[in-house]
Amino acid sequence: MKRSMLDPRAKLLLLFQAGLWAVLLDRPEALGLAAALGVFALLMSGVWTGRWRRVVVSLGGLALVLWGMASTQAVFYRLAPRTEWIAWHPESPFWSSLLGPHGLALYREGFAYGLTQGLRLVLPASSGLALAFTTDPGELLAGLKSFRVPYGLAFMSVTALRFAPLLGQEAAMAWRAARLRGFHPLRAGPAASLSVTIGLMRPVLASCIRRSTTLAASVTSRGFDAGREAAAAPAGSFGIGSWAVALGSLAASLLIAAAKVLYLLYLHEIFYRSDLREVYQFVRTWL
Amino acid sequence: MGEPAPHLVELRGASFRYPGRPGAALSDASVAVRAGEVLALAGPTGGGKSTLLKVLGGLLPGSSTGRLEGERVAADGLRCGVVFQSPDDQIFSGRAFDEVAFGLRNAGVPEAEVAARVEEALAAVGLAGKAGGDPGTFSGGQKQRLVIAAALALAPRLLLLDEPLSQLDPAGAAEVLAALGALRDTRGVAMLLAEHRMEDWLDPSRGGSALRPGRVLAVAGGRVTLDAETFGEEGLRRAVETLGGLGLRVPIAAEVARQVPEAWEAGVRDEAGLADWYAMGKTGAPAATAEEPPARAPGEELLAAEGVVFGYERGTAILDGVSLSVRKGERIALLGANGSGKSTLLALFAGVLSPGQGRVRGTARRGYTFQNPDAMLIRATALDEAAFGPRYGLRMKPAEAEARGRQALAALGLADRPREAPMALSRGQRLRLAAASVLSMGVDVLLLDEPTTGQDRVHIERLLHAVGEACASVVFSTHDVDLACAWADRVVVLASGKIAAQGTPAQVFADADLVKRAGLRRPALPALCERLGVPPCRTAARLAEYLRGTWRRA
Repeated sequence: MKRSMLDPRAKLLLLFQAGLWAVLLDRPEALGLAAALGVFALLMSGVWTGRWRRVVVSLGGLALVLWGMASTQAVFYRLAPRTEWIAWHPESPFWSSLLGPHGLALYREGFAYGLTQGLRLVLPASSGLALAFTTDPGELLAGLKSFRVPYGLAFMSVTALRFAPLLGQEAAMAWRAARLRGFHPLRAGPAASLSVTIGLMRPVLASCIRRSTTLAASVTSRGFDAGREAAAAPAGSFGIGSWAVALGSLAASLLIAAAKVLYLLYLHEIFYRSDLREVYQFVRTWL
Repeated sequence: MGEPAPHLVELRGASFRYPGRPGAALSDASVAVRAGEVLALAGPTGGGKSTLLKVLGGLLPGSSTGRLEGERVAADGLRCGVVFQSPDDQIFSGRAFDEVAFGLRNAGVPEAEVAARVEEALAAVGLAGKAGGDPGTFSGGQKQRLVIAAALALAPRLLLLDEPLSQLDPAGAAEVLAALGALRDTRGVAMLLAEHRMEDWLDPSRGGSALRPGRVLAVAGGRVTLDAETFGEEGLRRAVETLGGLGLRVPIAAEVARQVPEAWEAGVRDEAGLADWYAMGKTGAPAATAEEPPARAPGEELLAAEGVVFGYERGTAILDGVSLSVRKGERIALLGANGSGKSTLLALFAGVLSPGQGRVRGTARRGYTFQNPDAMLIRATALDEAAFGPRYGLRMKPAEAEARGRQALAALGLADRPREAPMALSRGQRLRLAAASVLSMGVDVLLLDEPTTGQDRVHIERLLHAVGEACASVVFSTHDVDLACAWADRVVVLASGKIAAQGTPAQVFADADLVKRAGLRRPALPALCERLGVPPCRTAARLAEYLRGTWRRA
């Protein structure tokens, strides 16, 4: 794998902060901006490695997650206030008995809520994928070790990342095999489609077990012990770019965290200063 | 004669049982490996070879749960390196250096020393200068040698190799054998090598391999059924008899001799012996050819690729202008080195891939089995699996689909296992079930991608016989030149994305230059026929028949 410009430790730090931002930020705009950065990183991983297929598949998956969460929340949102966006109030007793007295409606607030929750997932997921696509497993292991992650856990995480794409490939192969035997989900009906889809897990699971058994025997024979510490490849030098990214993102995280804490103190009437009103306003509007 | 080398590891009455499985995977095994010796381990698929290797290496129990009975006695500080069949399942690093350094770092070797030992291990397997390479870009042979280097870096005194050649083309296998031979000669590393194809090693007159084991073990049904020296005549005779009796490959001369009672009784077990025996009683009577006629005369064209160009990445063509037709009644073997485009051509014929240029035409119903048959097994029982295509593809009623499924299971020798979970079957049975699940759809052309990988001779012959009976035409890719020679009507050799040659096996394998260029090896039978001075035969049975008819006791 081509070595990336950022040190894996800087990338891990960014990933950690992506997780932090997903918790700290509440406004869809801010989360959207942060998620856009994550998606940008994912796109850049395609530029860097030249392997676009997995980037496109990942983006498709993330878009589905986002759409799924926003649309389901738009339908099932029960908190007040809520504003009907699109609504259908059937007069027929049959549909009323089926859909309830309020009929079927998409709520604007529900959509925004679902979107926010979806973006909370997309942000760390896209950042994590970008990290996995651009980092050599050995470098990642060294990076995790330098953050004092236990060796067994670090090794297993890196190995899982290395083999994870194969699961997708094997599921796709099983699906292709079913299609070659004439299976078509639309023709087969929902029950058969569900049964076949569940069946696809059989070869994937069998392959996982076979591969993990072989790998376990192989690494055991090479002295691996999950409970014992071992050396990883020495971490490389932390270049200026890595320093700039790490310090810049760390400063941003600290500022966001400090502003949110000040706002929460004000909100709960624990601490208030009038010269911080602009900070309160900024947090309420943007963060 | 000096003192025998000390035992590195010894099993005394060892038995191993995997949890939840009926019966022991290994029963009452007593085996010893001495320092510096090379042992071959043979046995039918699922017979217990891998379990024996893992128990000897101290990996069972440990890397997997289970119960070990009996005793394993290992020399003080013995370190075993283990290499398995698929290098892709063992390599997890993005750089060759890190892969080899993994064991050293686990052992706490100082980083300053790691680099030197990695370079040394890579050089020992012929990968010097590849430390910075991405293993994902290596050839199959290079990957397997990298795995050997990773084991070697820890300076093991014993290497346990579980079918390390089965996924490699002849050139890749030769590379790995050469590396292993050098390790034995320069470092005195003992090796236990599980392998299906023992024929070259058991025939001293064919010096085709860089590594010849001094002893051969056979395991069948979890029991060690043979432990014989291969350098002595008596040991070789026992090895040939036992392995032949287990349905495994033995030297072709011995296989022929087994079918000619006069030769077998005269003690003929190798090429030289067979040549001497035949020269003494050769009558020269019949001049008729021994070449077997094709099973069915080729009929109309069922499927054809016309000027097909295909590449997985832009600018790189795996297939470059390939044209090939498949006629009714033909059995076609696709041969070529790893990456030559065999699987791609099959996938294009199957319609899994679409050509970038050119076209695949034909209205014949096609069935396709993947290289990994497990990817096709998605149902809860074998019968469900075989009935899947008729039910959902041909839209038959459940009872009709089931009847078709039962028919296909019977054709593939699985009639007694309709209720078994597919994943609980042995690998050979899973491969036949995958084929049954395709044949049940009544296909005209069956496309088999490497059906021979990791299979013993009996399983391969059973599969090919069944599909040959059930299907109008069969196209299969393989590295097994002996199988292609014996079973195919037409051999197609792919090299660098083009068809380098095609014709009958006799025509194709007669071109020594082509065989070398395409990274193949010449099948044993034509060479034996030449040495005996008889017309070319395609199967051992045919040659035996010819010899019986042309030999008279003096």
